[in-house]
Amino acid sequence: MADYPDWTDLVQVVGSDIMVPIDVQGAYIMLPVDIQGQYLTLDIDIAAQSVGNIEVDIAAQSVGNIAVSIAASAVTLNINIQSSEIALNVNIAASKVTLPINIKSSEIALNVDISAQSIGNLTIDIQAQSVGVYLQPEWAAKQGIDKNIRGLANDEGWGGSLKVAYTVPEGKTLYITLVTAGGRANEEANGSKIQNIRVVLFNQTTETFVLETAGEGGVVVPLAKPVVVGEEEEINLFAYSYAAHNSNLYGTIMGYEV
Amino acid sequence: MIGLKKLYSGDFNDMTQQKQPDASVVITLSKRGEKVAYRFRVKDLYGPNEEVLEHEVIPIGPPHWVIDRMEEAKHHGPEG
Repeated sequence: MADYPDWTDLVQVVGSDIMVPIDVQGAYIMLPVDIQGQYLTLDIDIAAQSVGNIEVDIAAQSVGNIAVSIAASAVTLNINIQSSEIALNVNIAASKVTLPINIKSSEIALNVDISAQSIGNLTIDIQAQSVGVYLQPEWAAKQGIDKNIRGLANDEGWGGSLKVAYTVPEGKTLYITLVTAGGRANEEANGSKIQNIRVVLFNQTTETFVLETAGEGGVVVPLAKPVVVGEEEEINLFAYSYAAHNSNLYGTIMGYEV
Repeated sequence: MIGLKKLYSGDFNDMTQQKQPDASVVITLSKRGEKVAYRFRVKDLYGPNEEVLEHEVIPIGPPHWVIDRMEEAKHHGPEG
């Protein structure tokens, strides 16, 4: 027993084999523990009606096992990891694994954002009687990041055109999932005549013909593989009329922007 | 011009571009959840001499008589 700098008692234990049962009872307790050893086993069992804060800071070259069991009526478990480089590996190897994750709430936002140069395998198997899984365009609409860009041009003659233009803002990427274009005679007398339309999707910035097609009356082009338009790139949709009468032209670019 | 700022920041869901006889374009931008749309006429869109010629903010949504009927239905329920 010795004097600690603030006049409390300092317990120093030095030895090759030590057992120290500690029973501390008091109105006000400070219990600094400084353990320095080549090998340490530290088991802490807490049974209490309520526990305030438990803060554990571990700085070590290696840590063996950290087992945490929490059973309480209310728990807040914040895990904040900040580092220049983080490896957070969860490896579960057992003959039987039960890993239930139950989230029950009136409102749940469970966002998983993955940003990487490359992703190897991302396998998600869901087996359920009912699951709500949305395709990206549907999800984009729910999230309010969908883009519907439409153009109109009236009274265009042979070779006349509609141009729909959009420049993607800085920091955003536009994914086009659907292109439509068409034309209609603007006079009833020509309503039944052939209405040829040529449609071009052109990236003005990269000077790339992204899509070119034609159809009688119009075209609808769903894009299973979305057309990607990068930040600050201008995408143009052109619809050209090749009808022997004047026409009203329309065209639409649909997709989402993130 | 709010409309032009929204165009360049991508702060909209729906855009309509209507080609005009003088080669200018009337653009209408709207965003879900907002009660107004922005309509403006611009010449030389995305060009070096781009200029907004007209600009207006348009209230959007159902007509007031439809809103009144919705309110009435909410208070009285389907049984009337």
